[in-house]
Amino acid sequence: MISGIRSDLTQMLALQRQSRELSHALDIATQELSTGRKQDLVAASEGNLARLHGMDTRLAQIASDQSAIDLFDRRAELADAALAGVQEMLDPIGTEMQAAAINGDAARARSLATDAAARMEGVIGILNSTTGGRALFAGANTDGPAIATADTLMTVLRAAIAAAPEGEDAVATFFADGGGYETLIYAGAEPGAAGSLSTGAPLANMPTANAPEIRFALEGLARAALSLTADDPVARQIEAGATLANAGREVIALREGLGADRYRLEIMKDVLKAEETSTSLARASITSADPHETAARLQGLEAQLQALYVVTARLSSLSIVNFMR
Amino acid sequence: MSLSNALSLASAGLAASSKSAQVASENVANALTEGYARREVVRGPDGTVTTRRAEDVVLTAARRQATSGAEGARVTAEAADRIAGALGLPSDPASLSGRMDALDQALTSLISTPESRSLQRGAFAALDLAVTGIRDAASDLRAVREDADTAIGAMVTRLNAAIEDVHKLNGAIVGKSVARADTAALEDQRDRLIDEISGMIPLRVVDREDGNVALFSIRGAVLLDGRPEPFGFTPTATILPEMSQEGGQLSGLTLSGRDARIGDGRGILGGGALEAAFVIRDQTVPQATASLDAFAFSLADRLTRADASLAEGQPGALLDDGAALDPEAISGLAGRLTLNPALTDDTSWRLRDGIAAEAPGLTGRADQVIALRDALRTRETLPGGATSRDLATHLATLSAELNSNATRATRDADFARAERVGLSEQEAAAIGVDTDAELQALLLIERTYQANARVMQTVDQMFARLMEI
Repeated sequence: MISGIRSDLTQMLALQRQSRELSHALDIATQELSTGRKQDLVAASEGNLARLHGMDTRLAQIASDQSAIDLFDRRAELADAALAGVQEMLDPIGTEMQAAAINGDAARARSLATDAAARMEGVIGILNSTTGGRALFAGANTDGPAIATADTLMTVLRAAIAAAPEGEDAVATFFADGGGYETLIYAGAEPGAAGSLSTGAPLANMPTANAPEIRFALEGLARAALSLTADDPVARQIEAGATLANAGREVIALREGLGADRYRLEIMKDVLKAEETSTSLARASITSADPHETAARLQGLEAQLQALYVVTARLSSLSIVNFMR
Repeated sequence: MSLSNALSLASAGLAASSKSAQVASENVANALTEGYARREVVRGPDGTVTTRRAEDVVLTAARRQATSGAEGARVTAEAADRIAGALGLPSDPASLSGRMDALDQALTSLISTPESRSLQRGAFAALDLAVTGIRDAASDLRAVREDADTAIGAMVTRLNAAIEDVHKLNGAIVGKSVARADTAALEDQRDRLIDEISGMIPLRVVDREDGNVALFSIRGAVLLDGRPEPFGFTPTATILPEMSQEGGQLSGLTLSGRDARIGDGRGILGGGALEAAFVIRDQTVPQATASLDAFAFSLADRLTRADASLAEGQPGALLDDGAALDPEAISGLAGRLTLNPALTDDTSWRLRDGIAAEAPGLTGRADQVIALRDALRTRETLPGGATSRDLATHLATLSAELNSNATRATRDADFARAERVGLSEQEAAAIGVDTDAELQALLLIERTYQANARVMQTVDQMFARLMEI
């Protein structure tokens, strides 16, 4: 303003403008104090909104990754428990049957073989278990079931043996890759791609009921069942016992693989957690308004506005009109 | 000097005093009227009293120029704000960026549990929201452009009317000033009209004889000099993204029937709100729209390429107004982007099995979903662009750019407004009313009046004495 010259309109406009500007600043400070977030994100990020958004995207991806890992972990835990059940079914029976048959305890071997045949039903039941409507061991065919019933398996297997040429181990062929088990009994599918985390680390697939380890276990149980009707039960039971004992170890190996995947992803989860914390902190340092600083600013503005009101009141009484009476 | 001469002089003094009091009271009454210039009493050599408007030619011209700049900056800032708002702040979940992030998350969830009906529907809903978001952003941009065109139409109408009014007032002022009548009120009115015009086009006001004024644009176009020069413009109601002034579908500006170049920063009518509106219509919005179109094309193209179920040339998940994408016709795509009708809430399993899949495939097979998500995350260039980025970053970069444009434009507008306010205050201080000064003058007027009255009384007494002789 040019000193020495004044007009009422200038004075009024100037006071109006100043009080408007102060009120606006006061509004912003109040909002920032109550929300704890800066109002002007563009200014807060120094115009670099893309960086802010990069952090948001990263945080969202970390959250997705974490829930993917959690989901995998839950399923792996269930699969592991199921495999533990399978292992328990196989474990003592194989070696015991083998020992009984070798020692000539035919009755004991026979009863163990009968038991094994009955356990096939239990193993298949476990392999057909579901979680939240999702078949655990059926690969991409999550509707399940993974395998046909024990009765069907044995019927199909006996037919295959009958059709097989003399001298061939029809049972081994049946359970081998591309054999009758895979084509006729296994109702699941190959596991689809499991996807990867945003870091590129692959997620792991669940084992299916078509895994060689599982096929081996079923083969042992089937051999035990077949030995009951075989011409040379003792020899067959020694064979079945050996297969079953090996199968137990195979299933443990399968569980170990699953455990290793779980461990690997658990570590990934810790890494993600650490990254989440640091990214959140970095984001907060940009967007959050320091309450102490905001409160101080608010107080300053308040005092300024009050001063302006006082000045307005004083100026309006400072007029010759008031002194002409 | 004769007594009667003294008497008539005193009487003239009384008349002058009451005229001055009238001027002072008028000034006080209008002390807070914006655009009112203080009246000053001018005493003629023959004792006559006339009034004159206070003026400060330099300040007024500077304030008018600042007004042009401020109005232009305001129009630019408002449009930039709306353009940035069309895409939203990248950190806001409702923004287009937020929607693209939600799509990525929905696909990621679906990868873990591809058989889930609710996750399939969630991914479909996220894709639908993203497409709707792109279309809404495109229609917001289109509205900004149409509004700019409408605003140009309104400004041109207003300009023609205001220039015509200034012309008429010129005539009235000349008539009154020849008759030595008071022209101040008419001049106030004319000044307000000129202020209004200078918001749209920066003006140079040149005084002609007898109180006439001529109006030129600062850069030299004649708007009014003896006769008003008419502006011409035809608003276009519906503006599609591919329409342009160069293409002949949009109207340009004419002055006195000749094309007037505006909107490139060098035209003779540039510098005010009118040019700003042309820049928005012909440059700012088309550029933002083109970027959005390129983004929309890239999204649709990535999804199509990632879909293994599609044969060569078969339309993918996103369509251009119901038809397959055409890389040669990207312009305006964002506004026409639709979902493939094969993909609905009921058939959202097609996100897992491919758009062309006849029936749902293996429930737990996520290969297709992984391909879709990874396609969005792959670093690629946009059509017409040079930098490889994943799709979300492309979008975030675009909206960050639009937002910082808006911030810059707002800051410019704030500066321009502050400059105008400062000059307005200076001008008001120079030519406005100071009631203290007026009241001070009133005290003097009172004294003068008393003195003149006393002179008359004395002369009257002298006459009375003469009569007694």
